[in-house]
Formats: sequence, C-alpha cells, structure tokens
Amino acid sequence: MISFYYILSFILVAVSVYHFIAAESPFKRLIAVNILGSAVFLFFLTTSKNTPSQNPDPVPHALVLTGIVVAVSATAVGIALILSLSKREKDES
Amino acid sequence: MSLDLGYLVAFPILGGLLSLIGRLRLYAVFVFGLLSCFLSFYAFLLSLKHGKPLYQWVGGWIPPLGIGLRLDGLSGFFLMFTAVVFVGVGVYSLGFFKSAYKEREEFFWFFFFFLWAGLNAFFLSEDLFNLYVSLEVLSLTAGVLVALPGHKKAVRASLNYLLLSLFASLLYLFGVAIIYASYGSLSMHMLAKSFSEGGEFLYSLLPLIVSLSIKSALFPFHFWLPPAHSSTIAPASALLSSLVVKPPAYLLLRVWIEVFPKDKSLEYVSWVLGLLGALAIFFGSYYAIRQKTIKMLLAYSTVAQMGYLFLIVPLYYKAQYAEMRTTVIEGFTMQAFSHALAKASMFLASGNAIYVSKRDDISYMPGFAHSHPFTFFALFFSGATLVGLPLSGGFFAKFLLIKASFEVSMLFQGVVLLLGSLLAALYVYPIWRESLSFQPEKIYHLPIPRLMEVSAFALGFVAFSSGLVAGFLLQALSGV
Repeated sequence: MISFYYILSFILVAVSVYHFIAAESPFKRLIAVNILGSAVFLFFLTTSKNTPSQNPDPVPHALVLTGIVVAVSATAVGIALILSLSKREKDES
Repeated sequence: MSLDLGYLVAFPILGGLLSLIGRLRLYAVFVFGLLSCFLSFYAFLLSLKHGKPLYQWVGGWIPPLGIGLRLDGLSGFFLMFTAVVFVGVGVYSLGFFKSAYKEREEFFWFFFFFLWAGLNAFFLSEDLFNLYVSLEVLSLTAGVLVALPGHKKAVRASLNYLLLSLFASLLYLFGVAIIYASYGSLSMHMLAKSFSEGGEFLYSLLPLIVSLSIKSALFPFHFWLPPAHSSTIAPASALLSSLVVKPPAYLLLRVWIEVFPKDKSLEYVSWVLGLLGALAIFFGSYYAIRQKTIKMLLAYSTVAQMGYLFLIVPLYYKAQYAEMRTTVIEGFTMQAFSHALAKASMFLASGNAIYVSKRDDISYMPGFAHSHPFTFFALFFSGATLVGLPLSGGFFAKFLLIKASFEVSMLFQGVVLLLGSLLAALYVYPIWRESLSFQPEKIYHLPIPRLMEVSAFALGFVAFSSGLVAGFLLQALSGV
C-alpha cells in the first residue's frame, strides 16, 4: 500500500515537470508548480510511515504544513503577477 | 561575548515591517539598517575570535524538533559582506528615490529588509528544511524586486523568474524529503555522520543539484537571469545580481566540504558541475561582449562570474583528500565577496549613467571621467575587480583558486580561470572606453545626487582594496 503512494507521487512529479517545461501560458506553469508541490508533499508525508515503531513520525507533517503555507502564498504572488501582466497587455492592445 | 543569532534575522524583519508605516519609514530604515549592519559585523568579529563553529538552537529546542543556527568563519564572512552590500545599496537608494520611482519607495524598503533577513537566515541555517524556507523567502522577495518598476517587461521577467524559482525550490524540497526518508534527520552535522554509512543520499543529488543550478543561474539554466536582473531599477538589480544568486553556490560548498563523505561516485558529479561552470564562463562572457545595453552586459557578466564558483567544484572533491581545503574555501569566499561588491557597484554606477543620459545603451554611456569622477572610479575599481587586475579582490580570489588547482594538477581549472579573466577584460573594456570618451555631447554636467555617487564609489573601492587586506579578512576561514 505504501508503495502505491510513492509511485503516485513520482507520476505526479513527472507530469508536473513535463507541463512546466512544455506549457506556454504562465497560468498553466503556475498550476504545474502547484502539482509538483502536492507531489512532493505526498511523498514527504508517505515517508512518515517509515519508522520502526507503529506510530507515524510527526516531523514530516510539521514540515509539509510549513511547505503548504509557503506554496499557498507563493501561488498568490504568482497569480497577482499574472493578473498585472494581463492587465498591462490589455492596456496596450 | 555572546549573541543570539536569531536577532540577525529578527531585526531586518522588524525594519521591513516598520518601513511600511509612512511617517516612520526613514527612521526605521536608518535605525534597523544600522542595527542589522552592526549585528552582522559583530557576528563576523565573533566568528573571527571564536575560531570554531558556534551552534544555537532556536527557542532552546534541540534537534530533531528544534531549528539549529550555526555561525562559523564561512557564514560570518557571508553575513559581513551581505551587510556591506546592503548598506551600500541602502545609501544609494536614499538618493535614488528622491529623483525617480517615488511611488515605489515604500515597497522597496520592505522587500529590501526581507531580502536581507532571508539571506541572513540562509547563511545561518544549519538544517536543510530551514534552508528551504529561506530559499522561498529569497524567491518571493527577489521576484517582487524584479517587478518593481511596474512596466510590462519587468512584470514578465519577474513572473518567469518567480515560476522557475518556485519550481526549483520544490525540487529542492523533494531532494530534502528523499534525504529525510533515508536518514531521518535534516541537520547537517547529523547527516555528515550518516552519509558516510550509506549511499542513499545519491538519489537526492539529482533534484538537489538541478534545483541549486537553476537558482544560481548555472549554464544551461541561466536564461532567466539576464531579463530579470536587467529590467528592474538600479538598486534592486544590484541586490539581485550581487547577492541573490550566491546562496545556492554557498550551500553546495558547505555540503560538499562538511557533509559529503569521500565517495568515488561524487567525483563524476563534481566534474559535470565543473564543466558546466566552464561553459557558463565562456558563454556568459561571450554574450556579455555582444550586448548593446549596459545592464544586459552586467547581467551576463554575472552568469560568467557565477561560473567560477561551479568551475571549482572538482576542487572541493579533491580537497577532501589533499591539504588544500582552506585554500579552496578562501578562494571561493574571496570570489563571492569581490564579485558581490564589484557587481553591486557596477549596477549602481550604471544607474547613475541612466540617470544623466536617460538611456542605457553602452554607446550612450556618458564620459564620466570628465564630469563625475566618483562614478568613473566606481566603474574603474569594480571593473578591475571583475577582471582580476593585480591587488584587487578579484585578483586575490583567482590567485588562490589557480594555486589550488595547480597544486592538485587540475590544469583545466587553472587555464579556464585565466581565460575567464581575459574574457572579462573584453567585456569591461567598452564600459571604460565610453566613460573616458572626450566627445562633448557625451559629457553631461547634470549633477548626480551625492549619495548615489559616493555609495557606488565606496562599494567599488572596497571590492578593489579588499585584495590588500585579504589576509586579515580570510583568517576566520582557517577554522571552518
């Protein structure tokens, strides 16, 4: 069961890297970055089962929580920049 | 003599927050700018005196729960020159915003201080996850600084930079997750022990190295740097080009010297990075020579100068075996230091050129030698440092690196270092030629605000003359 999550996260990493490189539109690339983030968080959380005892390791949870906060605020900055860019392009045409 | 290292991050953040309050802005900038600078210098002196690393656990929590901060000769040195560049750029900005972009000033100071806090946090961090958080702080603040002028070109460059930088940060986190999954720790000194017991960390190298190469614009990931660093205002360009690309290279040195075991498979990795560094020097210099505008020239020159920091990665590998560790660390630090100061000075001086001539083509560069001696000497000293003319800081850096590479008979590194200097001379030459030109239409008598001239000159002068006091500056590094 654990390996299913590992494989899923690797597939998501591959998908997001492909789209980040291939996509033209900045919004698609921002979404790709977000998917990469989710993939990495999924991978990181799955590793918390990786302990000798029955209890999961809490450290990855805390780190992923921090990572999510950072990813959300970074996405907000990205969207703000995309909006301001499209506004400037509209003004010109 | 002791110092809570957390203050080095807290004071710039406080300064940034207070600078948002309109009436308090200049007081906040003065007080917290000076305090942060003082603290950085104090930390530098502490590392000089202490000789061995100083560890602190934030809030008294010990690992694995707590966050470790570490101050040693290397991080102390980086803190010190970060503060020097920030003070120089800060003084410049006080003059700069009086004449242009007045409406951007409040945001500028906020991001100025947060960038400083992010850099300090990065240089002090001891665990890999905290480094990730600092990298994200750097990406966000640097991304906004790129967009600061607000025109379309800047916003587009900023968006490209931000997306790529976030992508690289997440790749870095992926590498960190692999390391945590294999060793159950993120603290560097604990990993140093476990890395020598098992080779699982090799799986994390690909995401980590790709991510750090993107962040420090190593060839072939350099394409985001020239538009991002050239389209923004002069003080922001100076900060980005001199400081923001340095941390990933610093982390690579740190990890290689302190954490990586003596592992044969790492030699191939080091050579890949070394060759990419050599390519960065050649391509960066080639494109710098071909540029028509001064800011693009300087941005490509940053690509070339960052190449040196990667060219010498095979030396880190060798340094694990031979008695030249200190020489390599000294050469690296001196190169990072002299490039940071010289590039900041160059960008500030280019801001002065744009201030008087309103254009940034090199062929419209004013004949500063006849009208503005301070700006001329800023360009002269910082150019000499980039080229590595004798006595300058850049000369001393290259001298140490060439000495180290010949000691372990790595002729390739030595020859590329020498060729790199020659190429740097070729792209610095047009700047000097134009600023010496006699044509009357290129001599502007428009006065430049005193602060803008003096700060550019001071940074260039310190970059040049640091070669004379390098022995004193570098003595802290022998304990690393």
